[in-house]
Amino acid sequence: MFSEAWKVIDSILPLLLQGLWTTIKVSVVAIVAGSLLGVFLEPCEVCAGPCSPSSSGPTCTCSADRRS
Amino acid sequence: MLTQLIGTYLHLFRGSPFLIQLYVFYFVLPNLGMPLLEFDSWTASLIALSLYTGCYVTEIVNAAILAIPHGQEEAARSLGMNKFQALAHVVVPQALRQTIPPMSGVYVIIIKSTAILSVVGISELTRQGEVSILRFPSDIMLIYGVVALLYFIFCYPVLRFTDWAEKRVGGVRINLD
Repeated sequence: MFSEAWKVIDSILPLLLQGLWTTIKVSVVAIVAGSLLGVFLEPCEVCAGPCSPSSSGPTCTCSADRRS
Repeated sequence: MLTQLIGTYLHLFRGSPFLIQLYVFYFVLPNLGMPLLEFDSWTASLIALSLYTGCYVTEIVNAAILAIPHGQEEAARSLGMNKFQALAHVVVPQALRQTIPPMSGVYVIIIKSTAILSVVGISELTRQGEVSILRFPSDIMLIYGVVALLYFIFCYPVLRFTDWAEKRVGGVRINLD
């Protein structure tokens, strides 16, 4: 039983490893691109957002605080 | 205007399934007739997955920036820095350290989401598993078991690395004194 299972694994493993390599390439590119997008997008929003004085005092409530 | 655009992007991408987003980039946008939007499967997949990742990373970074005491930015501004310099040199470096734990969860979700790309013809691991099942239809459990094991082999080092990075660099330090 195990020898038959090993034969199946042995014949499909190159195909699966090729698929794994494609998965690694796609996920690494997406993670890097998405992380850069997120890391630069949020500070840009905080920086660009208007600051309006709150009624409780001189502190500013920025747009990121209002959105969340 | 920028805030509203970013907010719209975040709400759209967090509020819809990734599969629908992928269909939009692969089937809908190329049919608009503009040559720039005629994406092949690879380009559509990478753009959709990157934007999907970006929306979650943005929210994580937002939470981390909000967790930094406002006094840090005020102190930086009192030293003569403008808002951008205070963010870049004081707030964001501290905030990024706090993003490490939730980022690992997002990264693992993205790795597992690549399985959805098989619907647009990307020959990633799940699709190759389906091709293998066509060759050996009686061994479906074995083949999916090997596919699951390979996903685990990829995801586990990512989680262990972020654990190490969190202990080494990141995390929140609470002073109880």
